[in-house]
Amino acid sequence: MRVLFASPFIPPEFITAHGHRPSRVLSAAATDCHQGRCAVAAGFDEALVRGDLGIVVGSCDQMRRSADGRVAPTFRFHLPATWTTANAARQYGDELQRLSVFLQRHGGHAPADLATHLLDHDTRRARLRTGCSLLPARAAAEAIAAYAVSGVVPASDPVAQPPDGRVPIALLGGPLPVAAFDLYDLIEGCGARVVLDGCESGERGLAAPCDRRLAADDPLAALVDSYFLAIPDAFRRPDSLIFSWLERGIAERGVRAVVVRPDPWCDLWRAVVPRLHDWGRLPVVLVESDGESGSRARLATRIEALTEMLG
Amino acid sequence: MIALDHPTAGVLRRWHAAGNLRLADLRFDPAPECLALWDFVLSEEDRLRAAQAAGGFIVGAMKDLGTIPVLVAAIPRARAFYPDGAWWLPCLQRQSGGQLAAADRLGIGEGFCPVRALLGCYAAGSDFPSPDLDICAVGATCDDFSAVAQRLAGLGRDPLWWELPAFRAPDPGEAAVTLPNGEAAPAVLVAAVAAELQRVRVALGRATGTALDDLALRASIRRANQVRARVREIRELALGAPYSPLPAVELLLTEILALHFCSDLDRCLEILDGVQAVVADRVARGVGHQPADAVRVLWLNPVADLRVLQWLEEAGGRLAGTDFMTAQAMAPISEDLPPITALAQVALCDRMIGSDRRRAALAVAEARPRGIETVVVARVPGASHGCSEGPAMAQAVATMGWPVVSIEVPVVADAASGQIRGRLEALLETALTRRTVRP
Ligand code: SF4
Ligand code: SF4
Repeated sequence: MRVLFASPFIPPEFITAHGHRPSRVLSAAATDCHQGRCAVAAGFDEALVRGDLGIVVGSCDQMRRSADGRVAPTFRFHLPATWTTANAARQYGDELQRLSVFLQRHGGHAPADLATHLLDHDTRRARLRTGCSLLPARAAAEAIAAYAVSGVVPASDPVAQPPDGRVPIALLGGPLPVAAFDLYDLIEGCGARVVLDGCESGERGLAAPCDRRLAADDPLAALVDSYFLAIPDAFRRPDSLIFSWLERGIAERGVRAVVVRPDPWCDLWRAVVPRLHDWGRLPVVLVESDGESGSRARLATRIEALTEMLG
Repeated sequence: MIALDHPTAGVLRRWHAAGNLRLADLRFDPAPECLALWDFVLSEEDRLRAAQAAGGFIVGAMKDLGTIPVLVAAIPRARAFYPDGAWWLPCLQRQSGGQLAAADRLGIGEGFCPVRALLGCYAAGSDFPSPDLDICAVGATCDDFSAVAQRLAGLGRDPLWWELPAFRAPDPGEAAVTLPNGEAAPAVLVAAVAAELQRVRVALGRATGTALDDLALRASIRRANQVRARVREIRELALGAPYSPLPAVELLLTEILALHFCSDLDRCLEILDGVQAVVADRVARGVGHQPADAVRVLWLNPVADLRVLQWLEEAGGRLAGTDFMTAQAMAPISEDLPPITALAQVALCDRMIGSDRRRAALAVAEARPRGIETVVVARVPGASHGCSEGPAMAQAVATMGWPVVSIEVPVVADAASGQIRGRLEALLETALTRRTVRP
């Protein structure tokens, strides 16, 4: 069966190992979704149809409180907000075990060849990561989006782009729906370039490279390492992974500014903005996600001002 | 009910003079025991500062609402309070304290719930003393609080985070236990919370140089249960007796005492004994604040502006059911289980850590025997749980036919008073109409 989920913390290889077809939802709901409802959470509900299985990851209120009584059987996965303790890692592992039972109960089989699937996906993600460092941001995001939906990755290694003089920036926030990918073009049109895609749909949402020996010995522990202990996100407490990830972006990709794009109803990502100001390592520009439809000119002006300042 | 300028309300006037300006707009139960309740709540800052000055250890417990203070009460000379209580400061001080403006300056604006006021308190060192340790529950608690607490890191705070996972029903065939509120919960979930509370226990013991052994915890649980039992008894009478023997705001304050004993457990018990005696006496005499036929309302959520509960009463309504987010603090804690397991079980009774459907079902099941006629969902401005709880409640009561209204309550609601009062009046009228048309 098709198994839909939105969170980057659900390992698609785990679902595949149970004989199901994983597909990550990156779409957002139509902009007229009702007041107070994040478009990402609403988009997930819209995507789920009868005949699917759903996995709702409760890492934020919007997801935790999204509608009960969906049309498809849905598994609620509690993703711990804490992550620096053995208890938290154990809870994540326990939730994977519980998910396994759910997947088996709904037409799947006991996990088979999990280590093989893990290593296979690790190889695919390595190719995507190479793309992130070499390709234009939009092309890299499209490749990750294709992987998210169906697991496919480009057949060949990407070719590095020549430097173009644009200001290298990080983009940070929840998922950027494919329909909003022209944000990358807009940013480039303003003289900047996303070299570190911190949207949930981008490089930030990719699991870390796995320890191949651990994957062979204890694939579940390898999943805990690569997913739970590695993916930076706004809901995590403490939130330090975001900053260490950005620090790496500065060191390895020369990131010079951060553009943050929270959903207007997302408290968690909006609250990252003042934390970035505290951190103080890079200039920060806030872009409300509804700006894509309504106020592109204003958005362009702000990014142009940023690139001029840094130019 | 009396106003602040009534001779009997003298004990509260010093709190008004100290900046709690909203007191001048509220009405109070004139019983000395109820005024003492108010005084006890308003004097908490003084108690905490005195305790800290005397070398006591102050814990800022956050978001678990009821569990961590029981652990802290087992430590000699330690006291816990909830910085979350800053939620009401903008109302009580009629926005004159500047806490929300300070939160704005810290980048946590009005898109967040009024709990952001605590940032202003931490930044200015006002309204409560700086805790020696902050302990914050995250996981399935709200995004607003999680964001606000993380923002404290920018003010040099380093909270101890502990995981309070989402409540869920047991999966088919999964080992389960019965929680004190009657719900079944997976045994692994209880074990996970217990493991986290054990971590908090160790950290508290280390920070205070205390063993915090089972003996001390059991004694603390026993005393917490005394508080909880009294609050439950008062609440049952207040909500169930014919003439509404305790006004809504005083009931809300009573429930709040169950959270952390207002940082003085002995005095808390005395206060509750006083309120309980008043309520029991009124019930025995058949007197109260509302006529016996007042419309019986189930009220969901605490109100950012306390005055709004009084508008309901002035319009002819009365509380007959509440979910002020305090249910877990009123649940009896098992005295037979290992103490940490017992505390884990009550922590999971928190209705805010599950689905809206679960919360609505629990609130309705509890209130239904009291003849509820209508429901008010008091939306909290900016709260991340705001958009789904109204529809969930409407769904939960659809078969009962109770009218439901969802009202956003600002921290000072005067500007919206016409609209809010109008909607409450219309709701009560609808409920009265249903009385006459029903067979
Ligand atoms: S964007 Fe924010 S509110 Fe929406 S699903 Fe993600 S974390 Fe939750
Ligand atoms: S009122 Fe709601 S959003 Fe605000 S702190 Fe309480 S639970 Fe969180």
